Amino acid sequence: MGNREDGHPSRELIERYHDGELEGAARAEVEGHLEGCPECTSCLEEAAVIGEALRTGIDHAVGSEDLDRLWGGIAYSVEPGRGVVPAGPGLFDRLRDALMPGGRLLRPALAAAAAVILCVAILLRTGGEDGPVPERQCIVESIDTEEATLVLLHAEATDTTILWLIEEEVI
Amino acid sequence: MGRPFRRATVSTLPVLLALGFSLVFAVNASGASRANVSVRVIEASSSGDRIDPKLSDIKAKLSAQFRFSSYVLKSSRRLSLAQGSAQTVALPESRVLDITYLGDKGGRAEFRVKIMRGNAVTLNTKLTLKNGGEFLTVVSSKGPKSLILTIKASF
Repeated sequence: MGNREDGHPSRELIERYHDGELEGAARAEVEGHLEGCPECTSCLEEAAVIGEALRTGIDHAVGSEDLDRLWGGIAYSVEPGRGVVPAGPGLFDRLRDALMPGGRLLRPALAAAAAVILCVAILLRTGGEDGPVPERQCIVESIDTEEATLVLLHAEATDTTILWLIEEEVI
Repeated sequence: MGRPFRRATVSTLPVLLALGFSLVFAVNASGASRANVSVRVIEASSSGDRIDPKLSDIKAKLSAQFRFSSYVLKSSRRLSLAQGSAQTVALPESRVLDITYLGDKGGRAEFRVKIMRGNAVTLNTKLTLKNGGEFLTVVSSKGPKSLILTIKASF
């Protein structure tokens, strides 16, 4: 049962009884002893007070504490050799600084390069096959004729404008 | 090279810039006030097989645009027209070519071109030409020959 040599239950047994870990015959035996033993009853009361205090402290710690820091504290307590995790930049921050030194200068440079690339792209686009239509050599604004038939022709391939007059009289 | 060269460069730079700007505006000013026009009168025919050597520079263009077999240069004139002024070119068979320089229009030279025969105005057109631009006028009748006029402007 875990009793002491004087027949009283051990402190551990009383604490287990308090925590509800004893069942059946073992529980009944402790209960029977506690009824007639003020020393063990005092021990049970002491276990109850200590247990309540421990639960209150844990609840408060979990509710208010940063769990990351809590984990760091636990890690430190579990592996004392690691020491306390420093409060500096994390892994991502360290990688960013390593890959992009002078990031403050790099950002405007990247923006300028992007603007240049965009301008070049626009120029190439407008100068290509879909670009502006070439200006014609000759643009006829108005035309009139008397005693003749007029035919206006334009050869796109050679950009040649031809005004063809067919007179009504014989030369 | 050192500071003396740098000082010389800095002092001449404004002069070069001013010269450049003046050249730009000078070109624009000449285009606006005066235009040079070259006129060639060509007799074209479907009979014969001859291309006048004086027309060697436009032989390919003539062959590409027309089916005539013979081309003969009848006359060639260079006109210098002030804005608003007109000049005439005599054409075969009592025809007259009348060209008026109307002025600069958006960087192009604007002209009024007339072809008259007696009192009749066979052609009356207003057109613009870019610098070095050219157009052709063909005058045909029931005969075997036609007139081809090449009119080219520079300003």
